[in-house]
Amino acid sequence: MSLGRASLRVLFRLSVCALVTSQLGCPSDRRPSDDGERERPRRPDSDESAAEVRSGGGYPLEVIDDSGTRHHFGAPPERIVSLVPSATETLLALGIGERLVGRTDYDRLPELRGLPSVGGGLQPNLEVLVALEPDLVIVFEGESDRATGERLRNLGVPHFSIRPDGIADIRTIVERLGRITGTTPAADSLLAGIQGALDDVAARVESRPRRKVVYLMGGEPPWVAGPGTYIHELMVAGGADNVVEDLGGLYGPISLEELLTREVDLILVSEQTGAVPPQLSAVAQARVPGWVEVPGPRLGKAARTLARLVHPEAFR
Amino acid sequence: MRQLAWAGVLILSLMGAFVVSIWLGSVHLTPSEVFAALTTGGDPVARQIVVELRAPRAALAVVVGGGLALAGAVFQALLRNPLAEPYILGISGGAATGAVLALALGLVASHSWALPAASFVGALLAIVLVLRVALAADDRVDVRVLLLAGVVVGAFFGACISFILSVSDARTVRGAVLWMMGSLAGADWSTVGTVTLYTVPAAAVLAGLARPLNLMAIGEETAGYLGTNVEGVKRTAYVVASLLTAAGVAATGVIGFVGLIVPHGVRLVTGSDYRTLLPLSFLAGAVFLTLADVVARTILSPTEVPIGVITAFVGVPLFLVLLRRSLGSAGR
Repeated sequence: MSLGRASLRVLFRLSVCALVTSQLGCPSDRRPSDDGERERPRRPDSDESAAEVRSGGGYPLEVIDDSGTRHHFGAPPERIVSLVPSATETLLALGIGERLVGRTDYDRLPELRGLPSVGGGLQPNLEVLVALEPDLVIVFEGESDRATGERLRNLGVPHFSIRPDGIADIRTIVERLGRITGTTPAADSLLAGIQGALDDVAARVESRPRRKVVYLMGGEPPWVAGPGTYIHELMVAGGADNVVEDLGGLYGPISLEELLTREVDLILVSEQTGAVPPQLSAVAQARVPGWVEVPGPRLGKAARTLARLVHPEAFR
Repeated sequence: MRQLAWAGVLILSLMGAFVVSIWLGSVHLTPSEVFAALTTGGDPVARQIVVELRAPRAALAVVVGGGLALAGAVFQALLRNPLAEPYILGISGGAATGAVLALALGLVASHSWALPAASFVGALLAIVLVLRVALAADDRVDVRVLLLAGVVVGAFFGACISFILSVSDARTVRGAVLWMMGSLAGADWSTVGTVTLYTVPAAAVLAGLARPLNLMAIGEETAGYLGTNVEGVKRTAYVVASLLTAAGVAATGVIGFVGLIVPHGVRLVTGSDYRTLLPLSFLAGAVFLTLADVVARTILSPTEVPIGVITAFVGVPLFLVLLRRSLGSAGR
């Protein structure tokens, strides 16, 4: 192949980064992990294409997904396969785990262990998926895997695209999944729980001086979580200022020099992938468990965990 | 005679490989279920799996595998270099640059055809660029310059990819890496149709070049004395083989080793008369990629192994055995 060796090396490094940042929830923590929903692509803020055509709860109903496709539901789906692990988690939280008929390789919750796997959440094994005869498949919306939704449409498999990138997306997804599956009351109480946790965190950190924090993903040069990431939103909610906020964008590398010139009060390190360069060893550090990085129904708990690392005294 | 026997063996193998490919998969289907799905209908799910998923995939493996092996054989003849393969002249780099750019610009999110289209355009760009460089030196195509130009253009595109990826977000990077690993998973009948539309005429043209390529193997000057339009043959061979490769790359991403190993393997077994080497390479490439795809999707089912891994793991030892054996017989 005529890709030069040097460029292949760069590609390899990038692909490792991509894999590392995609497989949240390492095998050891036995929690559902997430196959790639943390990188928020640049897109218009007006997420209102997602607005519901018709509300009211009863079937039949129509819901527009994150790809802008309008879906018609005549009855609650009974055979669901979620290719998005955080959505799987949401369906479990809504109390309809028994409707799941398949899982991905990244779903490792014990209650899912008996289900057949369709492979990865991106580019799943279509033949296994088709054989499960699902009446709803939840797929990632985005550049990583445009093909899956397209193929499912051609195969006539009902599917719903979601893009869980940030706090607002999680709310929308919980609400929509609740409506589609006829579990709106459960969704409402899940959302209320999340809101309660967020309000509690906000009240606790409100009076505290904001701390200057950077979130390290690991790598050389270190990759940091920029504004527009879910982690950034959690940091802000937890009474922290992201020192790389001005860099723009999502996850990306930052030079050590640049990082050293910024006054950092606390370094948050991704527990699975992160390592703090020795030059920064003088700065206070805290390790963040992998599940916190998954934008899913554990949002409230994640915000609390992160805030506690930033302002331990507020949680005494 | 021996070549004819090999052709027969390969055609039977191809039919066998195709049958195996639509029979085996992650979902267990009995031969009678497969047969029912192909004929009367049978179970709708089985029918969907066989007709909409496995059969187009097998068909795509046949045309892409055959095309890559044929293009590889032509490039080895044209460049008179045993290391030549379909991607050596920067096509994979051009195609990958197009694909990565389409991913990075978010075109793929709105148009599903953007990825194959962009990679095809990238490959065309590489082809034109290489030919321009090779021609600029002299009005004739010097195959050494062609080779060098191809490698340099490929390196340039490699740098473009690195640059685009370094300023892209992780989603783009993941999409790009998946694409560059190559896969037949995207196969549907419209893809098969498009690639076949390219492959059939291209293969016919290349097969027609067998005799001049034979003569040119002796030497360009000799071939010229014997009435071959050497420049015309070189240009046609380069452009058509490149287009053939570009169509395959656009449909499946970069699948390595087929175009390098299969023609050499065929050459070692049947000799280097291009009149038989070219068609036999096509058949052998088709068989090889079809079987490699069966392995790729069944060995770690339901997860798929990148097909390039299988073509290397299976192809390299096979090739080395052939190479050893030919050295042994040559020594005797």
